[in-house]
Amino acid sequence: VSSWTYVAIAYTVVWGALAVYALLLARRVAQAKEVERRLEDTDSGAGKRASASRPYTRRPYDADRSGTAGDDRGRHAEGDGGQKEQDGAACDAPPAP
Amino acid sequence: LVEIDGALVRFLSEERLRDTLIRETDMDWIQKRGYALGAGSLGLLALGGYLALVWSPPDVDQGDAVRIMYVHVPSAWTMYLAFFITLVGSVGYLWKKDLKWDRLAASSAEIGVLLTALTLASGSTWGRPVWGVWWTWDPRITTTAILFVIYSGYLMLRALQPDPLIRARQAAVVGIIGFVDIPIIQFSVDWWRSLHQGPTFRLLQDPTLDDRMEIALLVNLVAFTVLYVFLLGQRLRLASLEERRDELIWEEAQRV
Repeated sequence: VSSWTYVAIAYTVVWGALAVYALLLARRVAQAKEVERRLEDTDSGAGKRASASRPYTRRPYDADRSGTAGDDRGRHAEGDGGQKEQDGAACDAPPAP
Repeated sequence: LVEIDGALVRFLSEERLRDTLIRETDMDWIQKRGYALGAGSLGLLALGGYLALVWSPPDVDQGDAVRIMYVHVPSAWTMYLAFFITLVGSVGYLWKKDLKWDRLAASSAEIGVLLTALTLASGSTWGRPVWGVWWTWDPRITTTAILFVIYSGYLMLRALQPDPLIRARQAAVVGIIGFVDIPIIQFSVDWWRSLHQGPTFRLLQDPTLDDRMEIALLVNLVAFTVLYVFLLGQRLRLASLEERRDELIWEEAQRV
């Protein structure tokens, strides 16, 4: 095996790993921004509904759980030991009448 | 107690939460500099790759295998830098009790662990053609592997502790103690007779490298440093967004 083979392996591993990490980071940032935007939309919407019967249609973390917009590797999610499906017990309470 | 993403999180009070979580979500400055840093690091890496693979000469003894040095040494240098920033963040948190220091330490540690893995992988790939083995229990290699285990444990500790204040304190202690391994790695080649070569650069001494090799190595060192700063900025931005998200979930939980 020539020295160039080892050079190719080393450069592929190092540059490849850094590129993958950068791309994953960019994806996580984009997802976190989307979740924040949706949460803020829900937050402002909830204020308007406060005097009504709160016709709740979609919880903010639903987006997170579905994986369509949420970052499921969030700070607290990292520590949940795979119990993500049990999340949001406080939020799961039925809306106040 | 509040449950966020399935994890029970203790907050002393809403006021305490507001004090500890970062209020500043306007990360425009990171974004603007992020684009410049990202483009700059990409350009420097391309230049460094050209200098390393084409422009610099092969070594008299090692032949073309010496070109692995241009990614191995910068990986190791940025690994040191990343864990030094983790040390600074850890000390800063214990001193100021401000979670922004904890975020800095955690973000830098994550990048540092990746760079440690790359240092070990590139070193192993370099060792095979030069030493004839993929791995040997040389003092420098062994202490670097120990560093990888220490900071992987640091990240696992952070993942397992849901309370942000307890997590920050425990992680800060590990982040400070773990840094003790860095000078041991650096000076291991001087303290013990080992297979690993000595430092490529020494302060106050002329480098022993060929001029073209030295220039290629310096360009790659700068490229990796700029890339580290870029990645750190993006990781900090992500940490802020995640905390803001958790804060909004908390506010929603309070309301319903």
